[in-house]
Amino acid sequence: MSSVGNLPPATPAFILRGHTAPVHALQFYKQNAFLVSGDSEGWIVVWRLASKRPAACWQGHRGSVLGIKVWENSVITHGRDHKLRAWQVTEASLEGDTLDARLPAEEEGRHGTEREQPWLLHSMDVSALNFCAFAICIASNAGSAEDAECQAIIAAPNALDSGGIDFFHLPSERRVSVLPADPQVKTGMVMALDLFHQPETRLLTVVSGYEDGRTMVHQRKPMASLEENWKWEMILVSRPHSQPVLSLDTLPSKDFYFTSSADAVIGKLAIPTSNFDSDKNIKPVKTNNTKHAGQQDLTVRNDGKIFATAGWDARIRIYSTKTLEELAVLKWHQDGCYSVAYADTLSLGLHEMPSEAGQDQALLASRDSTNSALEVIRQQRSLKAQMTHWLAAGGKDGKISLWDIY
Amino acid sequence: MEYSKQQAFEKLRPPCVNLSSVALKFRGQQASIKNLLLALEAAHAVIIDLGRHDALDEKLAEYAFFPLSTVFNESQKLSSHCLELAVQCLQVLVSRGWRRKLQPEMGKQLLILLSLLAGGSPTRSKDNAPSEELVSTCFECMSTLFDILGQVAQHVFDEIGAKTIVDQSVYLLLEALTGSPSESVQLSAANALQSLLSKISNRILLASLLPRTVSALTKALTPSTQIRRTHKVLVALFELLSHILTDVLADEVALNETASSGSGSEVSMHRPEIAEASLVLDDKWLKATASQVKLALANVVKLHNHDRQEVRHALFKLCLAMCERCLKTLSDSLQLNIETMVMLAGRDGTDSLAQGKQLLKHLILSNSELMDLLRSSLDAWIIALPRVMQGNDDRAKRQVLQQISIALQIVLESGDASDLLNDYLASSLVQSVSIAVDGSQAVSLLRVSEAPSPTQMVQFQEQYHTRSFEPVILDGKGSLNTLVELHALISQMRNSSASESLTRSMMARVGQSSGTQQLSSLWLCLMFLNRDNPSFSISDFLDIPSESYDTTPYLISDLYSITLPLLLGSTTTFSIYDWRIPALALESTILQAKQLGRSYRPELIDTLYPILFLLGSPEPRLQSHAMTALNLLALACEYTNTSTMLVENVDYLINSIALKLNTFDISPQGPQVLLILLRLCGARLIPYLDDLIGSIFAALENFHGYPRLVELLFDVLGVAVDEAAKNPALAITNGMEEPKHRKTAYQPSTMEDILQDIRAHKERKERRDAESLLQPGDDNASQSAPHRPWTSNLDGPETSKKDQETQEAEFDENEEQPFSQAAEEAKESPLTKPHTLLLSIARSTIPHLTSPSPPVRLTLLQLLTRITQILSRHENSFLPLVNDIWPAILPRLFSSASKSTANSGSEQGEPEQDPAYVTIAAADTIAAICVSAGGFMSGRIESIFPSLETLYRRIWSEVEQDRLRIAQHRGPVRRLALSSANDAASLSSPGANLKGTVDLRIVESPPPDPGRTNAPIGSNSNSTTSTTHQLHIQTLTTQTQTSKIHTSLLNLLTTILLHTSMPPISEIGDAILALLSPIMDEPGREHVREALEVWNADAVWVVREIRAMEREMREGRRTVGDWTLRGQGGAKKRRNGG
Repeated sequence: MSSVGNLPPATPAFILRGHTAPVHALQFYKQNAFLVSGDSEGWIVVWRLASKRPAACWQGHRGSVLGIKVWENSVITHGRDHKLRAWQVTEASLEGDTLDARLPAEEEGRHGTEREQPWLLHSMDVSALNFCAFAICIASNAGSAEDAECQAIIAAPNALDSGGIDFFHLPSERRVSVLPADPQVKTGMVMALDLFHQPETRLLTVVSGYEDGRTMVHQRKPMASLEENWKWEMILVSRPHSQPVLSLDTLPSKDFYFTSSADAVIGKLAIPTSNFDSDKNIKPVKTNNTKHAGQQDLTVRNDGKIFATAGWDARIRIYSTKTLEELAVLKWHQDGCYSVAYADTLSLGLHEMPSEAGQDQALLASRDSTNSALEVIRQQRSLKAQMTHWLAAGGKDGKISLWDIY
Repeated sequence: MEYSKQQAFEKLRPPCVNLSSVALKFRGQQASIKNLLLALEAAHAVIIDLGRHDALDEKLAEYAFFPLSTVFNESQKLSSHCLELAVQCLQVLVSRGWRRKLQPEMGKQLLILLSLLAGGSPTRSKDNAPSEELVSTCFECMSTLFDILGQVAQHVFDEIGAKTIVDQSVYLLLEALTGSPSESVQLSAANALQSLLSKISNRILLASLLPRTVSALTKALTPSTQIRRTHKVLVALFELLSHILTDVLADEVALNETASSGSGSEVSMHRPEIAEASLVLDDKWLKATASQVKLALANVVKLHNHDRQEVRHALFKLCLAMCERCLKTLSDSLQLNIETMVMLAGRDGTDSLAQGKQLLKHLILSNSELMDLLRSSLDAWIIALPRVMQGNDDRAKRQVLQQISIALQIVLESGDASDLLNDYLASSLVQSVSIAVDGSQAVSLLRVSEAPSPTQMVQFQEQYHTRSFEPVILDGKGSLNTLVELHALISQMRNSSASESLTRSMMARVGQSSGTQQLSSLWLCLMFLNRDNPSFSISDFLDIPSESYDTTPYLISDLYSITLPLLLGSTTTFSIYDWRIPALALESTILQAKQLGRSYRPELIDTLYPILFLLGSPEPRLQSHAMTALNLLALACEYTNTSTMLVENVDYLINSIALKLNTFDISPQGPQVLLILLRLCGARLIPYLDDLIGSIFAALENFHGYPRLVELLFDVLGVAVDEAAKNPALAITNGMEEPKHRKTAYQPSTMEDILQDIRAHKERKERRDAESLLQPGDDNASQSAPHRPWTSNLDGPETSKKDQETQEAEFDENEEQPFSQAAEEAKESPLTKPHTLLLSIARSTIPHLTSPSPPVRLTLLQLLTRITQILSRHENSFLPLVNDIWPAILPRLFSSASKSTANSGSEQGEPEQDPAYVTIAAADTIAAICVSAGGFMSGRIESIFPSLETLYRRIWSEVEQDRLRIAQHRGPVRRLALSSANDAASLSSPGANLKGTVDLRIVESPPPDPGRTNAPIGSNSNSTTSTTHQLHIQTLTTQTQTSKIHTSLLNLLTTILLHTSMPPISEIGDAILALLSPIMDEPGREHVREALEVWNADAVWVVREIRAMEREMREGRRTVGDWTLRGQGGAKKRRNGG
């Protein structure tokens, strides 16, 4: 707060109202054109950011939505009803208003079972006992043969072994591997997961946070053949927290990750790349005791410069990824905040920011008629909305605050 | 008829002979002037006649001239009239007789003669000067002679020399032109000079005449007060000037000369060297002449704003001729000419000068030199524009604007207007407009602006159908003409190719400047961009891929992005801003919206709130501007109407308001906008309000010290409640029913009722059995709330209600735990959002009921009154609410009584005494709660009843005192009216006329002065009630505050009786009866009696009986022995017995 100085308190740019239950998951979609939110009653709303209005709204789960991720033209949601569902939500269907956009708040008393839902692509049974949201890794075309286009690996906690992690493959919906809990260490339940390919080695890496405040990184060993069972190697274990880990997120460069927990500490950990120590018990690179216990969600912006946390004390905090220093505190919600999401900072090289460049654009468009001039203006407008560095935060009050900050 | 020569001669001879003889006699002084005149007239008539019939020839002319010559010889002695006749004859003879056969010598002599006649001889005395008629006739004759001579003897005119006839004639004519006061003389002189000059072919001669001629003409054309010249003369003079100048100085003449002279062929074309005999027309001469001519022209062009169009036209032609023909020779004066022409062309576009404008345009476009001149003039004008606008001369302002407009038009048509020019123009325009704005500010400040109240804003409806903006600036009457010209200039410019760079240049100024400058440039930008009816161009039809495509969309969106911060900023810094800036920002927004149409809709996120916000502006013009903007916006975004637009974008508005409230922006506009919205959108809005209401509460907590704000916020809440109430189906009820606590009058059960009851019971049992058979697992039906009136809902009889009510009353007795059925509550579906919202609104009022501001307290109580009715439908949440708010309401009712009597537990920081209206509102609120909560209230009523009773007695005594006072002031008749009004209902018993005073004593009122009241009553004892008097009392009582309190207390008491499950036998009931009995029989209080009778008809009867008895006793009709049934105990006994 000290770094903010004398600036007046920041105010949200907009409040998205419509959920009647706490918002548990947020995810920007389609290059920031949309925001997908999920609440504790299983409602999923796709908000159009240009107009700040719902483009689609349906009850995707019978329980709370734990996590939302997007993959190509689909929105994958994970619910407390032990279901992982992939919904086909195309831009065309959102723009064409083909989907039902009535908000849960407008549906008093009735529960929209009969309303139309987006096309359900996949539905899998996945454990949701731990409140741990799934992690997804869009399979790149690198390395092994099974990683072809349009495939995804999903990591979720194991149903029976609450400290273990299941790996599923999409679109086959088949469980490809299980990473069992370490029987020697009592980690407790898996609380948070992240899954990605190590950029250098192209090895599938899973980062996990546990109930006892421990966090681990496992890497899949290179495989000789397709049929071979996946083998995992633990490359890091650390215990930055005394309370359960609540959330973790990795830098885009995949060399560091950040953890938040029910205690007040935020940890920054380095992911080892090669010649792992024999002692895998590594101390965090940095920790910051923020004195604000319970930072429920943590999200790193995709430029890797800052990350934000949603706290039980109803405040959104923004930290520097380098120093873990607190940069800003955003206060709007009255009750606790449960989720936070960053819009992608797009680098659209073709389109300059539409400001004083009017003259140039005029020249560019000089061959066209008036209509296309209007068209250009419209494009600029929607582009501007997409270029905004939105920060969305959802809280217990069922409202999503949108901030345009940094 | 034609005359033959002979006939002509026959006709001519007698008068000629006669004239000749008379003339001779006259010379010999044997005839009088009169004789000569007569003879002359005769000859004149014949000559004119013959001339008309073309019957003259040179012979006849000679013949006729002879007598005339004698007459002319005597000219010294003759009158002007005689000479005039003679000259007229001469003219006819010259033009018709001699014609081409005129001898040049003869002609010359005639000219000399005429000059002498017209000019007079130096010997002549002043009083004998030739008359105007003579002079003009002479000039006409001279003109004829010039014509004839020009045909027969050209050489006469080419003689050079100072004493030639030409020289002298010119001199004479010019003298006449400048010196003569008469129009006819001037005209004829001008004509004569014209014909003379046209005959001269020798350019050197002309050149020698030039200086004198030009200076004389200039003198004549210079406006002066001494000699007023008519427009005809002026036109003729202009023609003369143009003629001589072109003849002498025309380029082609000068160039021919150089060519022919040979010596000058190697010299540059511009300096023709002419070497000839007397006058050397070399370049030196030319230079000197040109500068003189320039001076002359400079004087002449002052006539450019002459009133007569003909004159202006002539001037235009002169200038045009100069430019066309003396381009090189008179290059010095070109600038002057062009400017004059531009001025003239700008002056009026409708008349013949419209074509003059075209001429000018073609002229200038065809010559780059002229174009450069025009451009430099334009520059000068542009630079001068702000200065001119600063002045007070409207005419000058218009003039310069017109000039700029026309010049610009031509320059733009030439296709190479420089950016620098545009920039100049832009800055000059901005400055000019800001000067004009500053000038009009003084006027607009004088206007009294009336700030509208928020209530007026709420009345906002569709009646505003304004579709266009009022002008924001330059709306003063004085600047109207300037405005029109400015508009014309702008509309001209915006259709031109320069408009884009002009607009850009001005737009840059919007961002950079502030204050009036910003305002002006913004206004100009809008003027440039706003094309209401775009003038179609030819390219629209031809569909040519033109290079100059339309950049307006970009310009508009750029302007919009500049003005948007201004609009948004106006919501925070309200008072600082000039109201016109946001007004113009509004216009810019509308412009953008019009352009984008439907796709502007997302922008409403940002813009709709500021517009609504500006509706709450204290400046009425800005307000109406915002209103117009709203309408136009709805139109542009293709909404069916304005309120549809608001409703469809209510989420944006709510968002903006909430953010405002959250940042503790306590300007009243936020809540006001909300108020408007609520009125417009109704209950649909309520689901969106939840966190907004939270913000309002937060604001209430933070700013409770600001009663105005608190009042406004609660107004908002109140409207929210109202709207929720209006549309209960949507918001609250969900099938909940309003509880019916009203007592119905006791009806003894008849046999039919009992049978029906049994039947219903049986039916019910059967139905339940059937249901349980159908759905054995579902026991909902049997578990439903026992007090829910489902029986009456279906087909239950009326009688069952009573049972139910008593049952309910019993149930409500243990109010300490109204949630004994917690299980049931858990089963019930959770309350809807609007419902919880209303509940929290109601709860939030509690701390504010002790607000120091009475209006706030009033608002709150009224709010509670309305809210209870809605919330009562859900008893499980309502009754705890009542429990919460009850202690806060009570002090409001009793604070006016005394603090000691009120329940002191609930009040801390008690505000000063409540005014009457708060007490009334408190009573009404309690009554409303009683209606809604019913039997639940009985315990509470019981606890407060002593205070209530005290209060009522006090108020009642005050009311009575008032009544008496009024009665006393009004004298006997009125007082009687009072007493009879009191007894109006009891008049059924005969002979009860004097009951009035008795009644008054029963209620222990301070007895009125018996001596003063009794006497009149006695005197008018047999008069009965008159309705007019009753009405009078009614109006009087409603007028005073205490009586108003009394009325609402009455209402409260009856409500208590009716709705709080008051058992027929109860202390409170009896007390109420005792309180109310004095007035229950008053007319207009029927409801009181009804209520009492519903509660316990017997008791009412008893009380009435007792009263009657007491009265009779006083009158001695009854004995003391009847005093057995005294008081309430007696009433009970009596009823029990019955």
